[in-house]
Amino acid sequence: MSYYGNILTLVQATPVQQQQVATVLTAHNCVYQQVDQTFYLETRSIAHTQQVAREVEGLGVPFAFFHNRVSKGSFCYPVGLPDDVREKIHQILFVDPA
Amino acid sequence: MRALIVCMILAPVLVYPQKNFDGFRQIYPVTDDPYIGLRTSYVPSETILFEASPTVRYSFSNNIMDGLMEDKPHMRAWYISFRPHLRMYTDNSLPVKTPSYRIFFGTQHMFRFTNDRFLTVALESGHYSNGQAGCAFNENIADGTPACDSVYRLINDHSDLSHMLNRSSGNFSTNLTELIFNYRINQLDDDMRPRRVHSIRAGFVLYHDNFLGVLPFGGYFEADIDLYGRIRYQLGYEYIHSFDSGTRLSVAENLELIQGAHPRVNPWRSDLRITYYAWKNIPEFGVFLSYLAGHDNYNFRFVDSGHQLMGGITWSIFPPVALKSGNP
Repeated sequence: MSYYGNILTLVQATPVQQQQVATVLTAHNCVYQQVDQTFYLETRSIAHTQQVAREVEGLGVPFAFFHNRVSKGSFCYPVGLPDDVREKIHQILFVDPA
Repeated sequence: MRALIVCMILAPVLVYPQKNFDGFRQIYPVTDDPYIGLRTSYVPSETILFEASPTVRYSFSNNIMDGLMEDKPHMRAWYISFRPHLRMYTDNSLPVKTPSYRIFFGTQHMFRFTNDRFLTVALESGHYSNGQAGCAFNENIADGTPACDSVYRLINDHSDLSHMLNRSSGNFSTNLTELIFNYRINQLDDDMRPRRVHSIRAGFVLYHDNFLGVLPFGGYFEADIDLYGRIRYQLGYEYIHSFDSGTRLSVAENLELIQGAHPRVNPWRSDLRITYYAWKNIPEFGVFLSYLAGHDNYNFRFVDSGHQLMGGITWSIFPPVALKSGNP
């Protein structure tokens, strides 16, 4: 099984819409970390990623979705976030649980 | 036609030298994978210790890996290919006898169809020889001498070439062009990698006198081409099954038919091969077992015929990579 670190950024989403996205992610068993309107989420295959993206798309909220296979050659540079949030984002984007 | 082939092969070499010299992420859908292994012998007089084919390719341009990930309809590679073929025999001092040297300019074009199917066309043209200077049928005579010519004149349709062959220094040389079509039907897994593959391969190898069809060097002698045969047709099928454990199994059957060779040459060759890629983290690396029947494929030893078993290790040049991006 492969793991992918993804970044989902909503555009001008209401709190209700953000909650709907969180519900979708939970329903698909995604590990995720929300920072404002951005969700850092882990998916387990390309097909799994497709399902999540399509379901979020069905909510009618504008968004950008960045999909990336877990890689040791990338980095994320969050500034001004609590340490536990930074650690969770790092875990999601770069650490293969396998 | 010849000029067109030369232009196709040389144009990217001249225009894009080393633009994408990224030798470690390049894949080729049509290929003979490199291998090393043990094999039995065709003739009682020779015992093979091991055989190796350490094929390498150097691309001037290769977007196949990127093109697959970006859902491109057409991907291509332009490259130089070295395909040596070495056998070590258990003679005194364990010599490698009459090794095959093959160098090609090549190009492969991969076209994407619906339902995860791909057609690849591979065209390679180059030189094939064994680097020897002896008369092919008398090891005490130099190649190209009147004495060697007289030996050739003794050959008739009933001559046993396998018995006559100079196995230590007999010269083999020709230029050649290979055209292969490969059609792959893939069933993908959730990561867009092939779970099951049906791969059909068909094509031919044409022996010709001029290098790349136009340059007058490296070709054959007229007396030799009547023995070699000008065309070798190829037909093959491979089934690959990937398991959930990350390992995979390949079963392949490849046939070759020589047209126009000496009547005593067995025109057929069959290679039935089972390969198991047992390591998830090294998907290119596999072990194989092969049963061969028909003519040999080691330069002038195509005059030998019989049955062989071979086992060894191999490296796949087209491992199971993601065949599309999965963009929703």
